[in-house]
Amino acid sequence: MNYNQLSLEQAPDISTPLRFFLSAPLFAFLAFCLLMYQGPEILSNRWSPQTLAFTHLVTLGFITMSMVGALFQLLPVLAGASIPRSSQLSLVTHLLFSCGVLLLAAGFAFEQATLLKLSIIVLIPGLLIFLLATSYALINAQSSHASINSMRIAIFSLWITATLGLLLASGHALDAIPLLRQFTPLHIGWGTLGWISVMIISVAYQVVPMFQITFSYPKLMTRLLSPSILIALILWSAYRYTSTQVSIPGEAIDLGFFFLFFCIMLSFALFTLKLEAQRKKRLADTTLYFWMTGLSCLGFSLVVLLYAEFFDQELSILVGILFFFGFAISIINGMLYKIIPFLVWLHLHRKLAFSSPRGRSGIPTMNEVINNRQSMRQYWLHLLALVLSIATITISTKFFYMAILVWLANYALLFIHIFRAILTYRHCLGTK
Amino acid sequence: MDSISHLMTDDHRRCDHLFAEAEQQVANKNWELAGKNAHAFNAAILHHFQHEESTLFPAFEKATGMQGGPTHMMRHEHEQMRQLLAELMDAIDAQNQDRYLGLSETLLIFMQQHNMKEEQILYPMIDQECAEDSEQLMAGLHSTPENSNAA
Repeated sequence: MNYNQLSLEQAPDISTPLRFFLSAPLFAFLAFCLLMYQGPEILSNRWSPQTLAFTHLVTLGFITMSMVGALFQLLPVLAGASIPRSSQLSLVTHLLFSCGVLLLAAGFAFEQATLLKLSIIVLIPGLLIFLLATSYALINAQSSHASINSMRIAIFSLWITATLGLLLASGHALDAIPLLRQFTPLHIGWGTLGWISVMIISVAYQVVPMFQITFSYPKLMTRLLSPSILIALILWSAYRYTSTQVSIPGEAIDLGFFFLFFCIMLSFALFTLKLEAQRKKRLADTTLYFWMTGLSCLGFSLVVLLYAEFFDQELSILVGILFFFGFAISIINGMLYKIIPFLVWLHLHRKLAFSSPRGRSGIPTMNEVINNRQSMRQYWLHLLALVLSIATITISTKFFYMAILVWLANYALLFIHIFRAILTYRHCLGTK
Repeated sequence: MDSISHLMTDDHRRCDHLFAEAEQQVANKNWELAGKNAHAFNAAILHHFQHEESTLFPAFEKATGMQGGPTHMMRHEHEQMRQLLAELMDAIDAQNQDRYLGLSETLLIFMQQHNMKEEQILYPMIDQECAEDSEQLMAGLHSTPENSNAA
């Protein structure tokens, strides 16, 4: 075995992940500003360009942005293979990716093909740099832990999602390229299941047992879950692709795949909730509340989806709210409250504990960087916004503006918490 | 036969449980039991570090000829955790709940990211490199302070 590359480095530079984490709430804030500007009419058409602008500000600007930042941080720690030149790469990726997402959203929102073209030009190198760097690190990873294999599947899925997305965006932006709408379900499937869900699953394998002190996930489950999603996605894509070429009578086949994804994801949600209920660390914190909310919403989103499929109901906006905001964003938001205070403490400790005359006594603990009471306030806002959004869809659109105002307050507060954590870091360094 | 990986991973879990028990008692302000649990946790984890630093790491360094690699980083992290543990013991002796819970959360995350690296990367390497001496290398861990004296 080659140990030469292995240093078990503690972490990359603190700015490497933090620039992504700090940007994420800003993109979500912008997404809701757009929604406010559009008004409740936006809910009537799921495929309007403005809806696409909103969706991509959220899925790329918040979800992917945070997960990219987390990967820059986690890969060296978990896989024992650092991303080469991660500090410079993260800076370039962040810049290109942020500009690309803004251009893409603006292109959709204002229906400007030129902006969409520009977004494609900027997003291609932005995503390519990140994908090549993480793929390189994952190929060279020393660990054979199930979560590393899951991350490989997540990154592979992001390659597919991004390629399909760029094809679709080119269809919108360029006259020469037809808009291949039959790729849209594949783009959504690979993005939501292969990228977002598998990435969350791979992180869950590590953080749920370790941070909440629970039993481990069963080996059989960790070995099978993500690869089953991958294989099912490949088969489903192949089926979908061929069914557009030759006519295959396929309602039942589609439903079969759907049911398979349903079972896989529900087993993950229920098993993780069971582990958390049996946790040894009884003291609950904000992160745990976010996880439990996230997993419950994943369960609800699957049930609503199942209901919609079987009874032929159009409930995609409700499913979208439950999946993206209820599940993925809850879990990411909860994780930020563990990762950011820890990084601040870790980097301050590295810099000050052995060099400063005040030593370690001046270094704030995680709870002093972001207080649990403060983060709980943001959790309640998040929950209230979620409930109001569901009410907007299921009861009355008169909740629309109220929901948006709470979401805006929620992301402003999250941004303030992250920003204050960075100020604390700078302040401690400045007064050493 | 058990592998070094298994044995050391089990010992991490044992320390985790002691950690959780102590934290719960501090949260309940049951200071007598909290003190007892926290000191048991402290003793268990220090014994674990000591076993690694005096037995496992030197064997790995000897087998691979690597001095400044992963074991160096692990020793450095042990030092950081020893500092946190010392502060944690001060907090328990002073019966300062906020200070203890602030420090214990920080220690838990630090300890777990350290454990991940050991369990997923370093221990499997030690298993591979030191297979011949594994029984001898494992023997030292069995005489834990828990076994000989319940703190």
